[in-house]
Amino acid sequence: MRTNEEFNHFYAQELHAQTQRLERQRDDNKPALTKHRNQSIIASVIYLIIVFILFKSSIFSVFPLVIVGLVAVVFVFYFRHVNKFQKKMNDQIKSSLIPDLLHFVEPNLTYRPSEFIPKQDFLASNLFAEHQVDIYNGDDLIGGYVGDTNIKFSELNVKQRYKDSEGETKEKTTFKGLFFVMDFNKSFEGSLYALPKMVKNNFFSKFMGQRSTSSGERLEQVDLENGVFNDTFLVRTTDQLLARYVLTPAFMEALMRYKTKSDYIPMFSFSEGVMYLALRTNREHLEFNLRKGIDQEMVRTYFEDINLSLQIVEELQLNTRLWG
Amino acid sequence: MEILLILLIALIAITILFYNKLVKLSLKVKESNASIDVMYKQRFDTLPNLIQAVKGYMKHEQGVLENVTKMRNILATPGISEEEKHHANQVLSQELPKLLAVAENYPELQASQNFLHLQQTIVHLEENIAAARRTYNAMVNAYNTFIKSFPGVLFASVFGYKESVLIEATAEERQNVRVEF
Repeated sequence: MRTNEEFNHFYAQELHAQTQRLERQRDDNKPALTKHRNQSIIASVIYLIIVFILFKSSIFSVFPLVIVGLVAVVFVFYFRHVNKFQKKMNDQIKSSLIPDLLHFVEPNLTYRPSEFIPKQDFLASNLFAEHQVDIYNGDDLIGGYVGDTNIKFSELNVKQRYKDSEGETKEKTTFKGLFFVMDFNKSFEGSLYALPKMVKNNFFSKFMGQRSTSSGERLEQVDLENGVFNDTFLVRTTDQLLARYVLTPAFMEALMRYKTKSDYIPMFSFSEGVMYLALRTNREHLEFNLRKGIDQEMVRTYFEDINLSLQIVEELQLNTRLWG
Repeated sequence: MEILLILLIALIAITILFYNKLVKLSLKVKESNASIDVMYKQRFDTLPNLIQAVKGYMKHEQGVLENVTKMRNILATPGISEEEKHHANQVLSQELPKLLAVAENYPELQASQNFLHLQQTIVHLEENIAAARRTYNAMVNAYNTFIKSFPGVLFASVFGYKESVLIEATAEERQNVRVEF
């Protein structure tokens, strides 16, 4: 964990030159992109004129095809180049800038930009047991030891396919955000799940979430002493005693503090000594936006994302080992 | 006649339903109380080894050790009342973290594998005892709420179910049992 002051100092000493070089590269490429944009406008106009001449009388009947053609023209003349350049810049940022930043925040962690949390971990968490996982991808896998705690996390984008009322196949996002897999500092058997309560009313919340584990064990709802925690989370477990062994009063307070700091309500589960935590941020992390400048503020957003992720270990005191 | 029969069947069904609920809730209270006893017993069995391991080292902090030994002796007394047992266990829950904390001042003790193992066992037991007490209180709360509210109050009085007593949490239980290694 690093402070903002430490980050500012590190940025000035180590990253400033690197970001300036990348920003210069972005600037140098602007005229080429403007040229491609102008070419795409001219090509689109020519395309539309040709289409109008060829299909003058039946223009409305071929309208969908005209649109598809227009998109293809704009892609070939403009977006292809934008994507290529965006990818090139992204690769450079992810191969040098982010690893340097990560090394500064926590030297023991490694960064694999194109990898992500394996699907079996996501399924083992049982946090989204009610959803089918049809599309599973992500990136920016960070992993290693923070103190004694083995942690890995990445961005995930999980979708489910469904058929709408007209029989058309559509996609629905099940989870988009950061997903963590961590060692838990207590040894136990059994499972526990905590999901954000959509409704505070206990009667309705009874019908939310899964009611059995992946192995078919029955889950029962737990009412804990911390009223705010109870209003925020729906907790289900295979064993009431286990729930209170894991969710001590101090641990519940720490989770509430983390919720306040991160602005997201975490979903978490514990199974066989492992803690799974999902932050539904609904946004991209550690990504580069071509329209925005490469500067200290951009790097700060990366720093804040990494710092917030590692804060979990500190806030929940996962490093307090009871079992050497 | 038919209406009376239906009402009678309904009354019997409701009585069975509420009686079963009462039995279930009171069984949960008993079960959670039994879990505490099991853990107390495990702690009781571990204490002689712990006392043996630390007594040679602790020259200046005899007070804590004596208190732990005294409480264990009380618990070993035949025919001890529930109240005395409860008090002795409460005191042990307060004194054991102190004893483990004091042990940190002795590097030789920290180097002993036997002591480290005992320390881990005690911390694990204390955390489980705290969780078991909280579980017991949650079960007692559910049970007491049921027998005090309508119509549970009617069935509880008919079948002779009485209010259960909550365990008061110790200061240590309100916090995590935390021992730095």
